[in-house]
Amino acid sequence: MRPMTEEESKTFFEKLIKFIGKNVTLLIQRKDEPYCFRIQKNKVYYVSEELMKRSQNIPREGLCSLGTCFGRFTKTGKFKLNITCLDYLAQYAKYKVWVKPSSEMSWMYGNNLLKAGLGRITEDTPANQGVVLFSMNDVPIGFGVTSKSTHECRKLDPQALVVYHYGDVGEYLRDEDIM
Amino acid sequence: MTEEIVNASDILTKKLDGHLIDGEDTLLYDLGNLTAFDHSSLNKTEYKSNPNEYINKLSRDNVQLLISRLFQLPIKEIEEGSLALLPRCTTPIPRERSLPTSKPKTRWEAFAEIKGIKKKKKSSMEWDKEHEEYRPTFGYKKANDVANDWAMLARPDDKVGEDPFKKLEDEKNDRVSKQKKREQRNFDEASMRQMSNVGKTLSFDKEHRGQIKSDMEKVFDVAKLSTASLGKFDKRVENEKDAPKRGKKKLAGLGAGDVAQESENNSKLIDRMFKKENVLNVDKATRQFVKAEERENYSKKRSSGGKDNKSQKRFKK
Repeated sequence: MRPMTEEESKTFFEKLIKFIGKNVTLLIQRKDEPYCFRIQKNKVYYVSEELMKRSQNIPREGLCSLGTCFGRFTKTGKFKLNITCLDYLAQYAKYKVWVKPSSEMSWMYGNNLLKAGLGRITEDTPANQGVVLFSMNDVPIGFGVTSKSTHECRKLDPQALVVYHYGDVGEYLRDEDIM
Repeated sequence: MTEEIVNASDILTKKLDGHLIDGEDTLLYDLGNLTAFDHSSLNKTEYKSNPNEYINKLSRDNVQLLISRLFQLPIKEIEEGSLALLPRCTTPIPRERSLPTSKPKTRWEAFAEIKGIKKKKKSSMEWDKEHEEYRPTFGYKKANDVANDWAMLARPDDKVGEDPFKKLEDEKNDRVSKQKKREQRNFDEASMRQMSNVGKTLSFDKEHRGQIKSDMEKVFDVAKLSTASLGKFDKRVENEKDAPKRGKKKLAGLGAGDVAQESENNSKLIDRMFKKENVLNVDKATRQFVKAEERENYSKKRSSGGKDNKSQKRFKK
């Protein structure tokens, strides 16, 4: 367990800003309790200070995880978000997409979202923007990247792709072994 | 008178009966080292009943056997008494000190070995023409010594005003100094191979001063660690610098840092990132522009519609 270096922090926050924008400061400076990001075996964990201090008593080889896992760094230095940080993304997301009930299962099996399954989308969402996907009763079910802006979505045919799949809650079952 | 016949063997048996050992002799002997080895097993019952007594009896018996064997050796008579001639040692004893290393080769010896040059023994005496007798080749009273002549023949290459006797002396001194340099070089190379920086003698002129200083510093650092506490509790010399630290470096920033400071640093980083970003939403601006254009076109159409109404009115009139 160690803090992130300057370069790692930059890469990490760039990816996070893609989804939650300026709200990333709310993660860093919290009102209730100081929180921090720590790396353990190339995975980034969001953990309270008290828990972090207690976990320092455990050697690195024996520490499995601590706090909430946000994602992992690849060996080439890129950062990939994990589904386990969905609660935080959903809480602070700027752009949201609601999915029709008929397409929820398709998305949760790992498929991309089609225009036919698009229920609602935040106004003025730009293309290639990170978004959080909700079911019609406001339950977060995943996150992805838009292929078209809101304006362009209205003119698309029902079979066109709207949101590229990035992560979904179905991974808790599909990737249970490696998670 | 009646006389009994006495046998010597009977006398011997009675006399020595108290000392001789009954039983088999199972020892292995190395009489050269005055040593015997007993490999037979112990009697467990007797040992457990009284260990000290058993061990003492066993030791005494074995020593008796060893000494009896010594008295069977061939004997040499001298004035003080009889000496036993000990045989060769059979037990190998390891050497106390390491084997002496061979003398390091000089450059010439190494070269000669590679080339296969053999050393030929020369006679130390040479025939002297002047005195008509054999004289040493080198040194005092050497044969054919030119320096002792009262006159020396001039050669075509001699320079005007040059003293041939002084020249001869200078050449000899040159040869001697060259030989000294070679010997020193051989010594330096040999000592360098064995242990560096020991036995090296450099002259204290300017070109060697830096080398001498660095060598001195290295030796000093080594000496500092050569104490019982590895220099930890030693008295410091005036103007002594700290020794360079060795060993593993601890991981800096293991995570025990200040979280508040870290959060602040992260916030500054994010502020910097946002400044670089383009805040303008291009799609939104484009859409607004398009809407404005459409609104303008609509108003134009309305004005042209008004004109049409006017023309209709004229037709009615």
